Amino acid sequence: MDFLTSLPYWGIIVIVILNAIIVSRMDISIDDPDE
Amino acid sequence: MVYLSQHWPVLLLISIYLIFCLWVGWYFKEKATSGVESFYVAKREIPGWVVSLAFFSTFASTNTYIGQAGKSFQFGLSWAWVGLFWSIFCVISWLVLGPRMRRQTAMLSSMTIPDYFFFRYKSDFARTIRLLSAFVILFATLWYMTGITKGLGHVIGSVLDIPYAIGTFAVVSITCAYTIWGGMYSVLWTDAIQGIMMFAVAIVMVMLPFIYVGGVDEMFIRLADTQHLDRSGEPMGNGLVTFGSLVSFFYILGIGLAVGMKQIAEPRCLIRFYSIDNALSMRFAMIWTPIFLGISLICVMGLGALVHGMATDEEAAYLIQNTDEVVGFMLSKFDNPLVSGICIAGLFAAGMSSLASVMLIVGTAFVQDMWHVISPMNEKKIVPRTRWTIFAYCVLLYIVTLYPPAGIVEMTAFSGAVFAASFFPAIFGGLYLRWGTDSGALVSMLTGIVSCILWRFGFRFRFEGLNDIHEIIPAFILSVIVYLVVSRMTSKRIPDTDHLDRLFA
Repeated sequence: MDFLTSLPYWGIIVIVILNAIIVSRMDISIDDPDE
Repeated sequence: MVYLSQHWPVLLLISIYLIFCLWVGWYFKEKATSGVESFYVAKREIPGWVVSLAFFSTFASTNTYIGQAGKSFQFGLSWAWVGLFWSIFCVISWLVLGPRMRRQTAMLSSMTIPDYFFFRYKSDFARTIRLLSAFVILFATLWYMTGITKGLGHVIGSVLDIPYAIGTFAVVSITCAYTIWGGMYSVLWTDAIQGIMMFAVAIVMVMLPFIYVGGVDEMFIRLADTQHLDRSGEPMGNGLVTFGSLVSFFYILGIGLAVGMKQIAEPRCLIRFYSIDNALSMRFAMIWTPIFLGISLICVMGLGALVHGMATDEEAAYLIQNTDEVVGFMLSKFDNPLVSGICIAGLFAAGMSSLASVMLIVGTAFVQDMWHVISPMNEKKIVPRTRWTIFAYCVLLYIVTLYPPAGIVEMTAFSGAVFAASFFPAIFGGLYLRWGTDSGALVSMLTGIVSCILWRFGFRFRFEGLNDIHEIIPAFILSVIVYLVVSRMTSKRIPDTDHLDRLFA
């Protein structure tokens, strides 16, 4: 399997790991500040 | 008796699964009947893990597990690029839209996507946008639902020898029953269980070709140089493991965008954000939804290519022309009734989770965003009328499924492109741009619809060089530009400052 064919398989893993790192450092608020 | 002895594992697993779905619907019946917010968005009190799995199972469907998996039989392992694009859009959807959408829709007491446009843009035009978006939902989803039901009907027929008309009737009626009973509660909780099943089945399915041929090394030896023919009759050689050999990157990009962008624009996905109970749940779902989807896509998107290792030259020659049958072929070739039963139950889950979500969206769009807007009704009548609407739509769906129009798969992809091009600018602008206006939203919505139709039926197949450029690409770019330009040109129509201060606090 060449590099570009294999890229999406490990690319997905890299993306979900990066996403987990970003989200875990985010300040998440979903409530209305007026309430 | 012979029939039962042959099919008992599949029948048993599917029966347990279907009875469970009906029980969930019945269990939540009373709770869902307590008010519009209960039936439509489950009172925004659903845990993050349930919403996360529900998002995954709603987005992925039989089209993913059968159609897209089978496509890699024709296009090779490079087809997983489509899965990479879908995973990227899943991340974008949760990262960019999720928290802000949950917050704004709760503030506005919005319960559907069309009424979000109405409350956010706050004007006479906003009413038109609400009606137009509800119409798009009603029209575009019928093709999608027909495609899913048709796929399930064929699965039931090929595995259980049940006639197509009876199989599709069972699928539509059972899904309709638990959706009508439990509303958003039953849709989300059954979706979550279906998500677990789909995740497990994706992992089981990808193992089968490797077990069959005797390991990873043997599989890649077979794939690296195969004598199986491609669609034009030429030997594939090393095409299955070589990027760009069997499919152009533009084609991959088109399908990757058209289907992947559903996650940032289609109401059946976006409505999931409405029901999350708190910030902790939101964080959980933002992390885990891309993991559930991404790992499943790693398993499924290249599955068809692996089936080459199981097929003889004659079988491959047939399957290359009928890629929707690749997964069924793999299961029958593996020839283990228990494994088949588990996988078929997972495929059922994949189809029914998407169907139930769309049924609810159709009912709420028609009653809350069309009927109630044109002829306002007492709030107590909204839930019963939504239930009757879902029932009537299911009858229509069943009739259309019995006589499906030609090219239903293409129509399904086309409807996804229409959603993305027409809804995304209005949603993103509504969430992030204080200066976004109702005129910008309305004109961009119309631009998205018209440019999708024009590109597909006017240009794409008339000029050979444009064949691989999916309508989503020009339509999406155009509708975003139109939203920005028209909003800037109509700055007098920006909603009042108090309203915006509250939304963007």
